[in-house]
Amino acid sequence: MTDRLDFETRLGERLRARAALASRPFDAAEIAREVATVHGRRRRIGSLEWPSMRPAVRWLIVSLLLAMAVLGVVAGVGALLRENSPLFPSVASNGWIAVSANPNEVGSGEAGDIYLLREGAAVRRIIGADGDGVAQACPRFSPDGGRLAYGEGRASPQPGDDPLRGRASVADRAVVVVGLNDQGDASSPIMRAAHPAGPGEISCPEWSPNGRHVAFRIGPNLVVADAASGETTVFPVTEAPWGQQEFEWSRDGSLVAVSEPGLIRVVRIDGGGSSVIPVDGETPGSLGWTAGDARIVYLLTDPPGDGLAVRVADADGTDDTQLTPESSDLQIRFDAVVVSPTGARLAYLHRTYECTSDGCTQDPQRLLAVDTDGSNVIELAIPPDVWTSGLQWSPDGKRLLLGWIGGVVSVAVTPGSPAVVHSSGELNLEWSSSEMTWQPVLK
Amino acid sequence: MATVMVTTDDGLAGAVARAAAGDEMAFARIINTHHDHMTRVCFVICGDLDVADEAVQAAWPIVWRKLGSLRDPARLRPWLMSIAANEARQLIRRRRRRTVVELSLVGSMGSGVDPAGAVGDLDLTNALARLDPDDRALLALRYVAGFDSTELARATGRSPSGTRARRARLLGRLRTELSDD
Repeated sequence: MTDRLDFETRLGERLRARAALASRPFDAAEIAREVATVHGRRRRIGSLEWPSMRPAVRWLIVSLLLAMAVLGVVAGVGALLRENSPLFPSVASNGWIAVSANPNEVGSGEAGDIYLLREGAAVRRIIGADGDGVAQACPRFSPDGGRLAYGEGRASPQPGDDPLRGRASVADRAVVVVGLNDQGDASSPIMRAAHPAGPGEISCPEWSPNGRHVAFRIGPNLVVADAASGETTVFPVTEAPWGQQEFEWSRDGSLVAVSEPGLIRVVRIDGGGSSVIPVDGETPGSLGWTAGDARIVYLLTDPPGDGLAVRVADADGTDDTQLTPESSDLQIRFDAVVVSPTGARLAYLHRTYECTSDGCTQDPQRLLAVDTDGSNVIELAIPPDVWTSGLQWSPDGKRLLLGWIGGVVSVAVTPGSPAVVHSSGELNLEWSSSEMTWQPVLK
Repeated sequence: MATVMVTTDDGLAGAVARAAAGDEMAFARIINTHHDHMTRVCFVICGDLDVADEAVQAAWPIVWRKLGSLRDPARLRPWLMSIAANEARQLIRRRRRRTVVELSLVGSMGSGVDPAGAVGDLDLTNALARLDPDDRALLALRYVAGFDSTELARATGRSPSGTRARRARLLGRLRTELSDD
């Protein structure tokens, strides 16, 4: 009996291992669209019949239709070739904004929860509770907008922590995926990947472009988890300093760029190993891929992790170019470089400061947008009193989201448009102003 | 290398209702969650990744048309797996009339593979190839999709006791063929 059960167990394992070889990339939205189109629950309109008319009139109608079709094709090709189209192919609009934050009256001792924001709507907490001691951080909407991934952990102070600088260890770390309905209510967890490692920095997930996987870093590992089944693959990387666990999926989902001290590691997630791009400075920040995964954008950093320059290199490490002006003035810093949904534009924050024996002063921050080759620089106005450390593109590529200690605002990428306040005064984003995400609403 | 523990929960009841009402996005979410597992089940039945893909592609229009008839959303997963397995069985039968479908040893058999493991995989592949598609469907639904006897019975149109007896015979045959001592 025992032997039979052993054989059955082994057979099950071997069948599952064999079945696991059958994973192939797929596009759920495309399959759904095709099925709904071809097999749609639509009433048949009926067959087209020519009304009785003279042949010459028929030919005239056919000629007109052909001419209209040719014009349509010309216009379509023209639209495709137009550069800097702000619209991500399947994104129709921008939905909810999710942030990790505390209620404003709660001190920094309470770990963060996840809130939903929308212009004109009351701020609403969807995950977490006052005093639960559990931090929920780094929310990320899935590419289809229907799920939310986030990192969580239980507050667990450790020697070396410095809460006043945002360094607070958590234990029982995990990455969680929940579903969201149209009202923004979160489901119970669909997937929870828990880390057996001890206390440390909370793990921030990033979705693969097709929404099938979430990746996160924990210590010397990059973990890629199936967002539905939770099956994981682990890739060895070099641990980065606290707060600098950057990584970014390539647009085709085949690669992940990972920041390590003095280099960018490019990991092939098909198991084909990794390559490294040595960079100047310390651990590079703000990784991003340009259109077609041709180039990698990064922030050159100094030892504390502050940005000294915005740079872009080919994916094989060649042609490493600085986009921001060379300056002999060392008191210029750059933050939060983000690549647009089309991969054609960058936005980043620029600040200057001056320190004398009497203390330091800073000029107002500047928000700049630029093509990935450094051309077409424009400056966008940041609302007064907003000192942001978090920047995100909207899913439709038409706005930039700015997080600061007191809330979240967005500005249009077209200069001169008024800013929109999504939250102001209700939440404390002191240590989480970069942890925000904007829901894509698909066509 | 870190070990990662996971727990899962479907939580797709709302998506089922919306998809049944014609919501394409909700349907995409169901596809995103289950497509991969359906492909795995079909692969064990078909032994060929392209045919497995074809079977799952053929299953989705059926799901789309019949989703409204699914009374209990909690049974979505077994329902989907059954439809995919059925499509795979039918597809393999149709193909067998025209040509022989070879069960191939696919996947990461590149450098660094354990030769003993590769031989074991080949034995399993050959043993599966000699089985009837219905038997491969039973194995796939039990060991890959995780069906219990009741779900297996419902999917194969037999009684639970009949399904258990058939599975026991199947295990005995495979044990002999795979020379398990």
